[in-house]
Amino acid sequence: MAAGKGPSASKADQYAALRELYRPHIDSFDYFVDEGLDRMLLSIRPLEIAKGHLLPPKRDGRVDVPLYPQECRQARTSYHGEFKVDAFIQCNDGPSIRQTFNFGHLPIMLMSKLCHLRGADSEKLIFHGEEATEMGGYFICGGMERLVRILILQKRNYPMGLIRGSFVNRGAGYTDKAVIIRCVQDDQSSVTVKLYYLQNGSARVGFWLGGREFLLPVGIVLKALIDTSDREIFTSLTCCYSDHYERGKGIVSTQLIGERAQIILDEVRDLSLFTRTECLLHLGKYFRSVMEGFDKDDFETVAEAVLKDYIFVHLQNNHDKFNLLIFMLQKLYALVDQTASPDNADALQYQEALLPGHLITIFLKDRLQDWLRKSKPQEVRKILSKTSTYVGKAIESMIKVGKVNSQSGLDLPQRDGMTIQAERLNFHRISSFYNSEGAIKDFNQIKKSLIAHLVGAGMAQLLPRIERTGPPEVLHVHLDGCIVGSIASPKIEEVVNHLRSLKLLPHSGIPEDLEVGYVPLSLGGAYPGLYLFTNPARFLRPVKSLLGLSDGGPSIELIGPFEQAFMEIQCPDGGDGGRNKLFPATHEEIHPTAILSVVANLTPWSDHNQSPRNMYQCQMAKQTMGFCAQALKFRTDVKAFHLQTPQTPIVRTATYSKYCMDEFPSGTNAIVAVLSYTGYDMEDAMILNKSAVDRGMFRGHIYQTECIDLSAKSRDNVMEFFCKSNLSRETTTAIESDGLPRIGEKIFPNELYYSVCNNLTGSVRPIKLKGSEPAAIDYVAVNGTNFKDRLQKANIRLRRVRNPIIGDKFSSRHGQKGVCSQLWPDIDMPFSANTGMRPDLIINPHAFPSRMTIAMLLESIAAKAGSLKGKFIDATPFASSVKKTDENSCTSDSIVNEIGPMLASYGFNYHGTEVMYSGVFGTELTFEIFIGPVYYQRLRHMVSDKFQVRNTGRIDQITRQPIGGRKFGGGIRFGEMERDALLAHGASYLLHDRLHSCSDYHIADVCSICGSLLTATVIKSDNQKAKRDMLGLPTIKPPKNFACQACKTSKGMETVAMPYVFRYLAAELAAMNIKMELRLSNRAELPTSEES
Amino acid sequence: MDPQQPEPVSYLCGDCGAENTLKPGDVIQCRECGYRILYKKRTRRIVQYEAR
Amino acid sequence: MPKKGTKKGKSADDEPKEQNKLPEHLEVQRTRVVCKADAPTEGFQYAGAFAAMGIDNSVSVDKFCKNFKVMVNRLTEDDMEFDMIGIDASIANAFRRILIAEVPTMAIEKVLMVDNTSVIADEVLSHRLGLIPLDADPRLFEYISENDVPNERNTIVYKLHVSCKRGSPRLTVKSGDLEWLPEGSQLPLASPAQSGDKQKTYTSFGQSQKDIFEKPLGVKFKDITIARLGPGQAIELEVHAVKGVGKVHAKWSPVATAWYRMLPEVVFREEIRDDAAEKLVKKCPVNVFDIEDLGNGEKRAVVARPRACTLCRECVMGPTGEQVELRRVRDHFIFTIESTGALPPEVLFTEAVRNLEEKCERVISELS
Repeated sequence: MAAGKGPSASKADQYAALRELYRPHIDSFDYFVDEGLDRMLLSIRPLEIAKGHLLPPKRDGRVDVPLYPQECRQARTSYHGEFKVDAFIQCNDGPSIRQTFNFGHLPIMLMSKLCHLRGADSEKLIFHGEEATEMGGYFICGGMERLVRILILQKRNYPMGLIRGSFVNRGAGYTDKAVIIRCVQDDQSSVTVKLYYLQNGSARVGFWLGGREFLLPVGIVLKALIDTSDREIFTSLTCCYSDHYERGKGIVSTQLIGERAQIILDEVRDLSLFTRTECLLHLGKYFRSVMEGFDKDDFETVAEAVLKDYIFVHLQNNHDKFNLLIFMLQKLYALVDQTASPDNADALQYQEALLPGHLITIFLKDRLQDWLRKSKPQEVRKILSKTSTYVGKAIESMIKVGKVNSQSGLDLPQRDGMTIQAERLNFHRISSFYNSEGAIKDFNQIKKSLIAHLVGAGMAQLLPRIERTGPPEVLHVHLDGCIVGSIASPKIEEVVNHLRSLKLLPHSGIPEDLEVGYVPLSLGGAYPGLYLFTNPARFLRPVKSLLGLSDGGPSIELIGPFEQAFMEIQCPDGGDGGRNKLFPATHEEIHPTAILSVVANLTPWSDHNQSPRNMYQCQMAKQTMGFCAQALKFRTDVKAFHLQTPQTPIVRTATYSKYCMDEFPSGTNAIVAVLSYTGYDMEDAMILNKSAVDRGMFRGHIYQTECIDLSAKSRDNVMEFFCKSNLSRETTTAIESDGLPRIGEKIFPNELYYSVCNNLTGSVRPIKLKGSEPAAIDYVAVNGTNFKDRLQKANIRLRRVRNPIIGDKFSSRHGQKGVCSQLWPDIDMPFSANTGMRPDLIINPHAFPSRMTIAMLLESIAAKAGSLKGKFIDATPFASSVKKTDENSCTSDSIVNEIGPMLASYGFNYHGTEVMYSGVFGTELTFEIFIGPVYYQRLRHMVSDKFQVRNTGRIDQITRQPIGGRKFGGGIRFGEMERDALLAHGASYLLHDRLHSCSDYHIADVCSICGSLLTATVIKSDNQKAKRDMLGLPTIKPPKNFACQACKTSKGMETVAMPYVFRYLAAELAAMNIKMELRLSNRAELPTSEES
Repeated sequence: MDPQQPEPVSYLCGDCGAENTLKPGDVIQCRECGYRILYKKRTRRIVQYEAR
Repeated sequence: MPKKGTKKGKSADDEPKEQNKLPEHLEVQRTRVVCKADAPTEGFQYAGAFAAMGIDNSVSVDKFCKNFKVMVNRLTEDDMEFDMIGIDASIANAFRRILIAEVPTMAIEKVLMVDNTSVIADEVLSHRLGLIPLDADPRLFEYISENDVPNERNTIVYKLHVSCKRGSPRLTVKSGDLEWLPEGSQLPLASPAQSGDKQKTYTSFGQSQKDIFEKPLGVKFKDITIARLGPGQAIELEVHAVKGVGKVHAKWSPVATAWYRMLPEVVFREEIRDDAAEKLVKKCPVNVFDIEDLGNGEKRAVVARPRACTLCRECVMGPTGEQVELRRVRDHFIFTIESTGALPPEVLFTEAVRNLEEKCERVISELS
């Protein structure tokens, strides 16, 4: 398919859809390089910064030689570029000096603007040892490919009304209601402001500063923001209520608001704060000790700084802040009075994404501020001379480890797990890491000016002044968290529609991704308003607009999750979706499969499956052992699974070709017969045809790369390097004179494969191959990048053959997984009367009734028809519903009736069954067998990695019981439930064997007089005996050799067989001053008793 | 010391592909282009496989 | 092929010589397998099934000798189809099983990899080499056991030495590049030989295979892709082919498939005429039926090519379901052999018969 496409120019386009998947990552990093860095540096306060420089990666720090990612993977280094900052420094009122600071290296995202591979075509990528489809979006740190996770954050600049029990704990008088807004600055750093409702009707503004939350009475903040009067505050607050309305549609306020406004104002008056200056002084006094770098400033400046840096940081104008706070108060009271419903923080509607570029921007800002803070007390000279590479290192370690080490927490929901390793097991896995199908789009290119333009020109006629009224008369219009105006509610629908149509126009000045979140008036629903968003990091998806442009052009509109909740979007397979004519659909889904992710979209006819099965398949697709990489020769993955003979599925969805899945196929079209044939296919087991496996079906390899860096783990600070012993000149080992193995050599377990020489002693230490299977040396690379040019760093890639064996796991694309139970001889398999074909694989018919994976049956007959016809079959889910709207032609009512005639025309049974003969008896089977090709995947779970056997072996030092764990050769736990089973069967001998004889069998010497287990001592210093006793070996010994130390006699000494842990228990109890006494039945003094 | 010199090992440069023959103790660097990642070259030692 | 008529006649001839004759419906049950629209197949057969009627349904040598017949329908270099009439399914199956798993062939078993810098891993390359069919008559070779020394009687040696020069386009290595070494291995064994002695190699051929075999022992197909080499890559190896059977590994299997099916028999319970007949003819994808013109515009469906029937049951699923009956003749097998090329298919079958014979002899000698 791919080869037939012809010119390479179209080949680049071929991967366009694939690259689109990773665009949010790359775009956001580009934003960081282009704008984020400079904006962030501007906002770092005491320092006057001219310019930040981030340079593309260079080899060995040389300017002229570019460093390519492949080299970093090979050498286990990082793909990073130098980071420098020019800043002006002023010394004691002297002239300001321009000084360049070196902050070390920052990791560079692959395929970003600073990457050397940006825009490279397939040939160039292959030349540099990458995949032809390489899509970048990740970082290389220490040779590992790390991907920044896209975290879910609260939607920025939108006040959310929440009810949370934890709010009560803020202090006395607090309730569980609050309005929370996450304000995001220009440089993507954010400050969350919370407005808590108090029981007395007032509210508190809360924000985090220096590790603790500060709570301010809302009145003070209101008054500190602008010069205002009590009256203005009162009217602003109460404007949304008028006696004229009762509880009708869109009424969000009650008459209580007037009393509450009074309470707020009274609170401030009680503190005897009247003017703005007084409020600022009050705040400044309070915050001067907390705010850094304001020790010498007056209170007013401090207060201004607090308001600027912590209250609604997304807004610059204090009037805007005042309006927003008023709005939040109104929303809070609506929430309290239950005239507006709380927002759901877990709904996508109120969420946005944390993009890699933004994360790096805010973390870098934090680190730079940290650096400033730390260097302040030092002398200026010191700052100048010091190269603070640790800033770069901190970023790198954040990506390497995924941990954000910051005091402030950066207003992020979590501090670790920010990055993950991009395992390249197969395409499914890697694509799921990126976690998006055009879902997250980053519109960094929208500049501030454009937004200004939008407000000025595009909407000027639409947005009148803010009227001092609220719903239902007028609705406030928010633009990125700023109240820009208000619109009379009857006119609003018109405005929204006009905005939407402007969105579709190419040069309207309105960004095509503008989110028009119109929350309509409702009875106790969400707080109404028109919320416009243009900011980055929003989720977006395309839908068809039915409003239609006059020119009838394509009307694909990008919508966000916030507006989506209030839009009427119809889907082709859902009919009218229960809408009546009053609410006609304004938008339509492009295709019903839009609800599915990339991986889910690859399941053929998933609309015919029971839904959990589709989910299982999405899980399993990621565990498939497929074609992991075409540039396998250059890969240094720690572990890579590779299928030897993959095939392209005959039955495939549209997504399959869209994303060029043929580049990384992950399964085989196996001829699957559904019958119970030998009994070896019970309970999801499946029988593989041995001859098929002989011929290469499902064969695979595991590539394991070992990176040995002797400089990193030198023992006792003694340098080690690779070297072969001079003494042994034997040629049997695979080790060559450089101490590394020969390529192509086969190595068996416990054979030597490389050797290391100690520089000090000169002794040579050879290293054995671990594990239980042989391996072949696939490649060896040496790195000369180390100290003193001794051979210290090498990559050895081992290749292990993994042919299918009993116990390996396979699965179809319909959540039907099974374990190979037999490699059945070809001649014993049933064979088809017409073709003589024997199935590659037999599964049990019981796999179907309860799981209802009808699509698998459809796939089987469709693949059969397709292979007879020599064509791929399209199995896009919901295709029938789309087709019906397109043409009302004679499309058949079901897929079976579409495929059945095709099969019949080739002389096969309409329903995909075939007459078969028993391979064992040679007679015709008395029923027809459902047989056909089904795309099967081999999963990475293989017995060779999992089997566990043990008879005797290592034991635990304390309990003397066998250890657990496959790695250490341990046993499998015989636990309580297993014990119960044996008890229930009365199998006491077996029980004794498992729990005692094969475990911690021990013969203890017990003094029957005092009943003590621990007081036995050897009378004679018989070393041999003591040693045997120490080892816990059962010895045939005269008991009189022991004496009780407590009773000072050996008269009562007896031997008792017991688990060793019992003795350990006695010792533990003794350590707690509890004496454990055993009463033996043949005790000398006491008449009768049993062991207790 | 051992009178016999250990036999040198052949490497291929990871950048330019040139063959480099290095003895133990030699600088790990391509003589042609100075690249410092070298791949080992396969020797002609016979390895026996079963064709299964 | 108008087999049906002759066959019917024959059995009709045979039966009266027995003392009893079964009623027709039971006779159908005895000799045919019937297929219906909903329940696909039915029928039963064991030695004493009709004992009460005085009919002996068991297999006997006499009956076999009298009835057994083989008719070859098609014979090409690679495959053949023949009818095997008058035999029990178990014996037909035995032939099939032996053909697939127990008739020996020569296949590459040992790969001595000298150099392989291609992208294909050594194991994969060896596996691919193993599956190449060789043009060598296995009957001229002996089995080699583990401790045997490879010699000219049990081993064929091939050499593969290809390289792609730097700057040249990609090279495809085909099976034709395998070069036969009639003098045996050219690779010296690791242990250094005494001076003056002949260098020991991996094989010890007494004489050149050129002198033993008339024709060179090449590969059957010269255009099988083994690997692709990029510039600067090379493959150098030597392979040893030995004799083996398919049950050990599929590469030794002499057939692609060998299978049989019972002769289909299509019977009309009632006559189908006119439109229904036309419909029936059109319905059958493999053209089993034909139209017979009865004159004065009347038409009748006839069964023209019952052998072609694939039992797709299209004809019995429609309105004609009741009129048409699909049957198979129980002791008439259409046997197909598709050879992989080492031996012609007819030789393969005789080999299979010989193999079964040996087995039987072994059983007899073990029992006696």
